[in-house]
Amino acid sequence: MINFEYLEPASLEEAAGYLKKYSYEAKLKASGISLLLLLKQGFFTPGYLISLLKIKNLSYIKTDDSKNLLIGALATHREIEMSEIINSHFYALAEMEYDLGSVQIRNRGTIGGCICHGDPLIDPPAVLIALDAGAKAFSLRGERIIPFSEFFKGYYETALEQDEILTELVIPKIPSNAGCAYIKHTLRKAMDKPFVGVAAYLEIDRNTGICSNSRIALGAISPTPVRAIDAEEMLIGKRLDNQTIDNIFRDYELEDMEFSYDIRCPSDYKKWTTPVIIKRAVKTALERASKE
Amino acid sequence: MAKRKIKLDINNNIYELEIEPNRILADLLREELGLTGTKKSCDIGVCGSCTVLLDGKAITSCITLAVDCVNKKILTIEGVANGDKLDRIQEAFVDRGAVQCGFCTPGMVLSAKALLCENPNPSEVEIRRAIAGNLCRCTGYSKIVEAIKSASG
Repeated sequence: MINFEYLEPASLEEAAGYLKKYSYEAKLKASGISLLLLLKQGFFTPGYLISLLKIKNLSYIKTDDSKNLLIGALATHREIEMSEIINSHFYALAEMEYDLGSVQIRNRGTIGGCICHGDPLIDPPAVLIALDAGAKAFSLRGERIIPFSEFFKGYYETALEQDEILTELVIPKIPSNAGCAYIKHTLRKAMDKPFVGVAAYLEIDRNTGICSNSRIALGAISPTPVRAIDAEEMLIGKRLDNQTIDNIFRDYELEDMEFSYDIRCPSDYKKWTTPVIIKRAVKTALERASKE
Repeated sequence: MAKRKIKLDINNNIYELEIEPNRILADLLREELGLTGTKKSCDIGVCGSCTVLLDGKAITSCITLAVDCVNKKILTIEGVANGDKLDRIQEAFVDRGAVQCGFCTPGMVLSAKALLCENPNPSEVEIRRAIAGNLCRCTGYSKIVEAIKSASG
């Protein structure tokens, strides 16, 4: 295990001060679930590890006055999985957490740490993009919101600047005529990271049954999550039912997309299965959007 | 790297320690405190053999820094029995033949304990999900699930 100086700031300002002072010598850490694996292997060798665990009030799960969901960066996966607000109003997030890692990992791992790690083979990004969510970043220069569609930049790389700290996830209220679903495809149920993780979001006009808006986000297939814009466009303006969805996706192929190889799944397999998972996720989202 | 003085509450005993901040909880328990009931196998948070309870919740101690456990209650397998009297989960494991080589057993028992504290009457699916992060390469899990079921209620 590498050596490092362990800093435990009690406030965001103090943490941001350390980041400014030690610059690229420092690395932020929440529970360390993902980071410790890389530190043990000597993959990263930060001189200073800044733990955020002593900062209070960063693990909330609440809604604001407009019913948007706010999740503190230190909320654990398990807290999100079990949250009543999320299960009632943002179910796709709970569904995503349900099969993420094991109970042990979900008990300790934080949503903020998971996202900032920037590993492409994780579940949250696709759902966050499909829900049009944003990341609130704090630095001594001020705060800004980064849409999750622009947050992931590559392997272990995010849009956060060196001096920024992710503090909150902001997820817009889901209208009553909308539905979202996350389906992951992997080896087993437990523990495994996704080969393919598809989140589908649909808004359906209640009077006509026509799809008025759609976002489909694909996780784990490439170095960053991507939107399947062509699939979204095929759905918008159509009156959807399961048969129509089958027809729409009959010959659908993700032609221009880069599918990366990972140790458990060849890229060809990802390419073949992704359209199937998209179809399933869209059907589930439709079912949810159609429910009163 | 400067050592720091910390106090850890392990099995209701307060340990006053001087450790490096990069000390991993599983290593500290095994190498410095002699609590070798906590096993290490994969060392990357996948197999669950290093499971301990932190404030009642199952965690993998192989990817946890010991300094992050200050002001929290740690329960290891050594703290589960009451003196010579086994916990009912441990008894059930013995009675149902849920132990073969035994390497996964401490982690299994602790995952089961966390589950039963939270949910005293779990379904089979809930039991299987609670131990999904604990690998056993001997039993095929049936006896373990049976044992946890029989210790519930």
